[in-house]
Amino acid sequence: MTEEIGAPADAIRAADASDPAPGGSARFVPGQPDMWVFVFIESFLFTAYFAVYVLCRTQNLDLYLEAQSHLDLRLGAGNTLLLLTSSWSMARCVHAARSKAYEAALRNAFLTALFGIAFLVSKVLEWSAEIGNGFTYDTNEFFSFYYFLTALHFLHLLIGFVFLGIIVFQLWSPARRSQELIETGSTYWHTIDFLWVLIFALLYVLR
Amino acid sequence: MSSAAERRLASVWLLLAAITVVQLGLDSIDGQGPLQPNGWITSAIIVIALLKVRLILLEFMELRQAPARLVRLAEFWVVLTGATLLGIYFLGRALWAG
Repeated sequence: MTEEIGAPADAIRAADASDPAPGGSARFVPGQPDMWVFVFIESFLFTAYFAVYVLCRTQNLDLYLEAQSHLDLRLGAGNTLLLLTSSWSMARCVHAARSKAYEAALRNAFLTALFGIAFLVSKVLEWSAEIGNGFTYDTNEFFSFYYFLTALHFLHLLIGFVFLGIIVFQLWSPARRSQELIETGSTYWHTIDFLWVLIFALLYVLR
Repeated sequence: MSSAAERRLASVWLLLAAITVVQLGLDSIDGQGPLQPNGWITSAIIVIALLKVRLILLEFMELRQAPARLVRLAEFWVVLTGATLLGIYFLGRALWAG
């Protein structure tokens, strides 16, 4: 019997039983399929932002490169390492919860929050330093993109803390502990991470 | 959590961190002084960033074990993003450089 596929979330959920995951285990969608629909909408939207940025950049490459040289590349790389580490602890949180090691899962959720907060603080300090040096949203096109993309990402990270709160709430009491909700929150958090990986490359290192 | 899964996640993180350091190295590959346009560095940076993104998708987000159509959609987005950014970069430079 063929499976009828309606909404995008149903299409995402549909797995082919003849195609097992590596290791022979059954394939599964991590978290709620609706979150994956959201992740793809966001990802395509950010691709469009990045495309406009690169298009504007190529029209005035010298100005962009000169403005880019005022960013602190090491700080940007440090930001990247913070978010990568937060993603690592988030992945460990999901695995621990799946193994019903809830104390370890909670510990990793708090570690994720710690690295996320460190990223937020470092971003605010970076903005303060740039503004202090006279580089504001209106300085030039590069800095307009810089503030737009980093602020939009910052906003996504703040929303990420709501999902992190839901994960902690789930892990806190034995009466809750929905693995699906934990994975859903985790999927959102990792999305913020991989979007930053692209923002870092495009703003700090591109030539 | 099994120690094999623990080791795998740690290896992925280590690889991602190492690639980030390589990106730092790429920035100084053409010496000190003002930043210059460089198609090779740009291509390498975009490809490396997308490899990192793919690693996060497959390993941290567990797409490796997800239904094939979800994996294909993610792979399509990665390729589309790379082709779009590199295409615009090189087309733009050909049209507007110098």
